[in-house]
Amino acid sequence: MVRATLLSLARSGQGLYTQPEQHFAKATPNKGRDFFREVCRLLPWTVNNYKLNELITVKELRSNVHALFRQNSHVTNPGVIDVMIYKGREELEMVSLQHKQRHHLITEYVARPQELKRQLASNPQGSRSKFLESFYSGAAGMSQGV
Amino acid sequence: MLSKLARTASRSRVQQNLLLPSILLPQQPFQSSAVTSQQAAPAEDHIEVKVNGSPVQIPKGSTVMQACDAAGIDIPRFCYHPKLSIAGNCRMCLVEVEKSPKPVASCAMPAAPNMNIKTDTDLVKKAREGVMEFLLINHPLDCPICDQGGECDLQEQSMHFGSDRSRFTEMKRSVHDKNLGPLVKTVMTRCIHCTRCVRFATEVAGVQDLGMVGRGKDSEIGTYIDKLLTSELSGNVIDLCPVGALTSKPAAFTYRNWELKNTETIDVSDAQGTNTRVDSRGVEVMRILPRLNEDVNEEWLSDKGRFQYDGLKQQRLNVPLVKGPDGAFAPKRWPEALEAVAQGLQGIAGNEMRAIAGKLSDAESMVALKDLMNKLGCGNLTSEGGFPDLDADVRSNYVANTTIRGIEGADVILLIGTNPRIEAPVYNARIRKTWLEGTQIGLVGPEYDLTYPYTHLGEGPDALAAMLGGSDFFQKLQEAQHPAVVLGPGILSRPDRDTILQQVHELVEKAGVVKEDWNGYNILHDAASRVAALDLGFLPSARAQSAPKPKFVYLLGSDDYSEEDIPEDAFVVYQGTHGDRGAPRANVILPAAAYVEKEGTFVNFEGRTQRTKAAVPMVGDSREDWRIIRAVSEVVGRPLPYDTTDGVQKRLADVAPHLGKVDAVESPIWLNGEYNKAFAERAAKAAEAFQQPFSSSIKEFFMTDAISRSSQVMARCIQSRKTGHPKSATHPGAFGQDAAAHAAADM
Ligand code: SF4
Ligand code: FES
Repeated sequence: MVRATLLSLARSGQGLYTQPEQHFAKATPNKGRDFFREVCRLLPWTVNNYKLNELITVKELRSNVHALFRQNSHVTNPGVIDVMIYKGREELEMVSLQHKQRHHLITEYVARPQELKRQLASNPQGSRSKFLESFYSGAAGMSQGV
Repeated sequence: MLSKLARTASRSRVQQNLLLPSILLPQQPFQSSAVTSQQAAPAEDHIEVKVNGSPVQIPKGSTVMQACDAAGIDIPRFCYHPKLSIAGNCRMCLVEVEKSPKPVASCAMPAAPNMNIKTDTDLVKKAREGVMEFLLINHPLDCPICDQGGECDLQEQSMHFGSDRSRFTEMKRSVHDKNLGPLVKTVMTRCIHCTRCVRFATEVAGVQDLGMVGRGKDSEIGTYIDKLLTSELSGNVIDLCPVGALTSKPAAFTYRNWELKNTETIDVSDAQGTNTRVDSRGVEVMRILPRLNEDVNEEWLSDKGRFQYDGLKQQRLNVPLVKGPDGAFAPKRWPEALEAVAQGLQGIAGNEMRAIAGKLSDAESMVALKDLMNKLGCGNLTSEGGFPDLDADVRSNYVANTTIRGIEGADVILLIGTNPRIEAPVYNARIRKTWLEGTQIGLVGPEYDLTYPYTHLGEGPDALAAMLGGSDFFQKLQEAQHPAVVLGPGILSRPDRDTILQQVHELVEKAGVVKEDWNGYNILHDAASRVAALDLGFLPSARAQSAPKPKFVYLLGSDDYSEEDIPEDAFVVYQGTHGDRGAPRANVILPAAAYVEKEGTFVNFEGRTQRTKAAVPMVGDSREDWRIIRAVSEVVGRPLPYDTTDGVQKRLADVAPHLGKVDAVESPIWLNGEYNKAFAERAAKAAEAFQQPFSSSIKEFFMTDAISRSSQVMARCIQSRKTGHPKSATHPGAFGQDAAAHAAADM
């Protein structure tokens, strides 16, 4: 898993890595990764506690969470990263205190990342135009009705 | 004491500010007093009257009610309707006129010069209260279970003008409900005998089915015998009925009017472009009502346009489907489906393709498809059930040049091969209106009941030829100041069309149908997409005639294509809304939005550009039509240069400028000379006219396209028309009440 992560990071050449000349150069490179690890530590408990094992293994869940992290890999502004980590920690807390319910976790961490991965698989180089992207996702041209 | 005073003061304010429902308000053709009082002298044909002390100028011959309307004062009313004759039988519109001993019914009283009208006196208040009291004596207290509740004139007016308590202790009268067929539900005890429905049926719809029987407290509204309301406009009596006596049967007990979201759009069930309001709740269309547009539909809507909406929930395509090697359809995601289209296109030359547009296609999707096909090197574009080789270079050649409103000015009308009653029922009501005003009407074609009498001149082309030789009716046409000729869509799809058009043109020429300031040449269409298709040039190119058999066919919502258009082995893409005829034939099915789910441009048969609006969201995973075509274009590697709604509409305006001018009619130039010459050449080539009689292009009014064919209500209409007996239309469990009873019985 870790190897795969590192590999994919290396392939895309961005992500958890930020430009050194930036303001918070020293602090940022590890922040996202550290938080990701923090999340990972809670995953076995989460799977167990929310009875997700009927749906997903810890390993799969980790890769799903990873996909969600990767979604923001283009963000380089340290301020923004800080805010995202802050919000992420909020989320983590809600999960660990069981303020979230099972179906929340299922939609957000089981169903949605899977959809995301599928999209990524069908459009590997990001070769599609913006129009086609939004067409496929159904975002464009949805009627304003209701 | 003080509080009582305050209450009366606020009450009278309510009275003055009362807004009557728009359907009751007549057109206000007069200027308000504020404007006219600034003019120096009143015009010749105007008189001055006083309403509540302030002077107003009104045209001679107006009624007292019109004077009050001109003064901006709303008079309560039930029986008066601006589009119907004056009955004067509800007495709700009583006002006081100085020097008249009794209050007068303002809707029926002509205004005389210097009349002094008062609408806010105690006498008027008391009179209204009295009328309300009488009306409510026999009106049931069932507002909580009445479908009209919340939009009922009686409810509103009794709130504003009625007394606050009842003195009535006797039994109320009750009346048997009449069965008017599958569309109009009746609860006749609620009827207040305003006779609006009767007047509508006899005057506008032209059917003598409804009437009043009995006298006094025994009078009832009904169809004298147990009979269906056989009109294509019958649904309008629901709007007209001021109370809940006539309501919509398919929508019975399904909504309250305040829950509904209103979207102003247009109807596409025929080519008239009737202005409608779609009322929806959540994702569901609950009802469709006409909107007032004097130029198009006045206040009417055909039954098909009003009641076919249940077809929008049946047989819908909601995911892309791709036919597998075993011939079974499998649901697919959009990328895979579009990939399948691209694969189907592989190795196919441009001239081996064909695109067919359906009856309900909007202009946006047609222009996008045309651009895409042209990019792929294909010029073989046709409209279904159409006349692909019609000459679309001259616009006056394929629209109703007189315009829908303009036909009212005609003094002789010749209908050729058309049955406007089913091709465009609302237009037929206009023709009937001109007939009522004394216009003479002649028909060449099979005899239909058009709801007005006409001179029948023969059935087919021979009658046309005979007319040219000079007949009585021809003479009338010649002598008329404003003669009009209306050609039906049936003629345009005949194989001998050119010859017949040539004859008609000779007639038009000889009879002087086209004059300096009058163009009486009209073509009627039967499909909403047709005029836009012709405007955009969605027509086969010159080379398409010699093209080989198509191997790839793109059906844009086309279900009425002819078999020979699609060869056995062709790869077919169907883009549309319903699993009707086209979808099963297709290799790839792309689900699209129906007309209430998207913004689309349509052109009606007089050439008026109008747009639909999205009232409800699209079903499932469907997409707007032109976006699908845009996406296909990208997947096959020939992206179209526009990808926003504005972009495609701009492209529309580039191709045909009048498509950019919404709600306007661009009157086409009459290219008489050149036009006839071209026809003469072509007709010389064309064969002799066949002797088979003309016929309408529509076989069954209630089922003309994918939506109406999927509608159960429309099916019920056909069923009940067959027997002419209303009962045959009700099958168990069809409507709310029955369904509930049925469910109970099943348990
Ligand atoms: S049924 Fe309705 S429209 Fe007809 S007379 Fe009665 S109240 Fe008037
Ligand atoms: S509106 Fe005048 S009598 Fe009915």
